[in-house]
Amino acid sequence: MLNAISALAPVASQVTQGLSGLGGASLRQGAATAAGAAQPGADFGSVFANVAQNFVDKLAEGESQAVAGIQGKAAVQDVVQAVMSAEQSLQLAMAMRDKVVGAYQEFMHMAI
Amino acid sequence: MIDPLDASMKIAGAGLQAQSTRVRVVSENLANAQATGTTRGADPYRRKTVTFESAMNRALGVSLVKIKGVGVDKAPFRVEFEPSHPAADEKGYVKMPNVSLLLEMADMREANRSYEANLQMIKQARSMQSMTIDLLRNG
Repeated sequence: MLNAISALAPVASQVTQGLSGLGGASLRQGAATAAGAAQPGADFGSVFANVAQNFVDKLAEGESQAVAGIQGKAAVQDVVQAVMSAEQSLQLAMAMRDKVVGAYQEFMHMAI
Repeated sequence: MIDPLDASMKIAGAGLQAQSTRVRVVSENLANAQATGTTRGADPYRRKTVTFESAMNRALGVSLVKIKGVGVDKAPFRVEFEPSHPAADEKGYVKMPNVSLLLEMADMREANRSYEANLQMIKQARSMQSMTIDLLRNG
């Protein structure tokens, strides 16, 4: 019985390491790499990094379009589209963040 | 590979721009419906027409609509008898623009409807995207 519980401990620590590594890796990759399509069979970390990078790009585009629109340089359709796209990316990023945080908490509250 | 829903929003966006150009041309025609020449026998404003074409976008891999060109209507001008007008010819006739208000109104209405259709398309694609993201939230 005791052996079984102690055998669980390394597994649990591995899982939490994996999760924290995932968060860190996605942020670092997101900042460093250019946005590209996720490789087929890529792990969740790189998918998340892609989403994060996409989100940053869309947000920047939305911001620059909004400024151009205020200055009268961009068509209102372009501005609306860019801002809408940024908003959609934000929604996706927030939903994914909630999922990851939820998973992390799930592990933290695991009864041992 | 781009998300098809994103692509359809971009396509509809191109449609919005095309239709707004069309509205611009209609408003030019309407505003210039009485614009005559200023010298003896000079030609008045000639009605502008707009044509669309399908443009393949290689980056997105879809066909967007774009303005092919703004041309002019070759229809003959109507003439009015007004000898005191600066643009009147020897017989006293003034050439008036070949703009038909009825035609412009019909064109405007059609542009308006097409714009609405494209907006509806964007709304639909957007709500489908939102519904899919909502799966992550409550699922």
